Amino acid sequence: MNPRLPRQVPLWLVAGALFAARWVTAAELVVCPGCPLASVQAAIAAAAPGDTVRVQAGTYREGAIVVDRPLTLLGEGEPVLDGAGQVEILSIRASDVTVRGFVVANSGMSYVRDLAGIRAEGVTDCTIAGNRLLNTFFGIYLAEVKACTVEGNAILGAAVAETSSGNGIHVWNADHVRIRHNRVQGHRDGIYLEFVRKALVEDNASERNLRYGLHFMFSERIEYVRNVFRTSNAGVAVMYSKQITMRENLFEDNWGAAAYGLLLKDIADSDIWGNRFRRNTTGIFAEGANRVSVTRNRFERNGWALRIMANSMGVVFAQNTFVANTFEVTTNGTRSFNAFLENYWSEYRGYDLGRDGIGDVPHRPVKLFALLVERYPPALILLRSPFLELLDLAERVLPILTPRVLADHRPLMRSAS
Amino acid sequence: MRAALLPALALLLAGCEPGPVEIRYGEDECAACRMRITDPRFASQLVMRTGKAYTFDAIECLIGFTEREALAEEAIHSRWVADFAHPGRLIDVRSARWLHTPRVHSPMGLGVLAFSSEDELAQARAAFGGDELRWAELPALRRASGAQPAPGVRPSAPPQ
Repeated sequence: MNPRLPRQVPLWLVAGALFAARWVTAAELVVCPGCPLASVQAAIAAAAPGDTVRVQAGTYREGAIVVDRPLTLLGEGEPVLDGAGQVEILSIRASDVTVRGFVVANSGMSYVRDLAGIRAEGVTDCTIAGNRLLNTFFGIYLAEVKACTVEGNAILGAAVAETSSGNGIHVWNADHVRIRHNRVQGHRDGIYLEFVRKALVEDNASERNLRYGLHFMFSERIEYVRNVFRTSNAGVAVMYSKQITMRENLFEDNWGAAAYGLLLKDIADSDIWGNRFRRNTTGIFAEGANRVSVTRNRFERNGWALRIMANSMGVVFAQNTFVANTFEVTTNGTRSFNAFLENYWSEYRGYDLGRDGIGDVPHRPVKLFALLVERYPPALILLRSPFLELLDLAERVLPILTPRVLADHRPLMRSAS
Repeated sequence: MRAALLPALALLLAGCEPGPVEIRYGEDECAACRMRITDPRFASQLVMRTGKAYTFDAIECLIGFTEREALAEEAIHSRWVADFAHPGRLIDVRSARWLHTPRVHSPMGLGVLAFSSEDELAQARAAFGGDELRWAELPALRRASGAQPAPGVRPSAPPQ
């Protein structure tokens, strides 16, 4: 065995004792209207690193509050930090800061600066949890941070125009970020990640945002799980990113002229598993998607379940369920470098004589009419025309215009998910 | 009769001179990156001789699109870019002045701002820092930044 091991034990004890000492000496400062400390900023100035500042109920109109040392700011009874429509309300400029339990309301709005309700910039280990952000331009803004957690916040914007509205949770140039259990609505993008490496986005609800529920730019190694993306222009837009895992999310009611459940633009090496796409204009739109696996998702009552542009390669669709979509798949070319295998298609008209659960004839999910619409969108007005149904049938029997290779050769007779 | 018709015809043809079309912020999609155009400080537009207009969320998307589609210079009528100091107003790129500053985050991350006046550029430069540059330098800046990885996917290096 390692003979040095016993000597390490006292070291641990010393470390533990030091930690305990620090914990014991950490002081608590109480702020309330009428207390000796009546201002949050004054309490921060009086606090030593590691202290806790307890802010009791009341409305604090102090302009811009800056947290410049490691602290825990604790709101009790939902104290309100009101920016009166003028300023960035709370700026975290030190590492090891926790902000919990506040109502942060009415930040300023600017075309030049991204004013936020709560901003953390150039710090590590920050926690922003259990706050409500009301009527802020940007809600929570993280720039150049490491290991920050944004958890259990409600971020409710009043955005009516995308041009005068910021993002709910905005993360720029960050590592190891966790965004969990937040509710974001009424902003431009609900959650926006740009130049983010390694992040977990789980159990959030992002709805009624003007642009995207969740928006990736130039990011990598990010997992988003069990979120709800509802009624935005696109539920999620993943752009110029790679190694993104998208699991068990709900994409619902993203409806409009150019609306998508999930928009993929130049992404690679990603995994889309077990999500539900319901009532979106387009379930998944993919342009420049490479090496993406799409497995066990359910597409129900979308206008288009899938629009896969021909510059996508190595996208594999397996074990998905397509039910009652106006169009199952469309594309913009006659070639396809993507594979479809063992999906369930409610439009499938084949049979299973061998009774092995797999249809005996391939399913071609691209309708001739869908191709026409892709090339010439106004043709959509001819939907349900009997003549086009006839054309579709003819094309199905003798495919000429639709990509011949785009077929599921093992269509499932029963839904897999 | 014929004499009256000629000026009328001339007027009609003059009406056909292509020009920028209104950008519907919050509705139009960028022709290059597909992102919805929301920020009136950065949008740009490419107007073809045919009158067809392509709208972009940022100037680097206009440049990238022109390169990707290998558009011939004689097919292009004009290029327009949003005036940073007057959001929503489009200026001809030939009369625009350019500031490159990492302090302002543009939709595609390049941080290039356009101005119609030298004074307003100077004000912005005083506020954000950065370098003034010429239109001809933009394509190289875009390629060098790596922040505009089209086509294909580039690793996400943090912007400097």
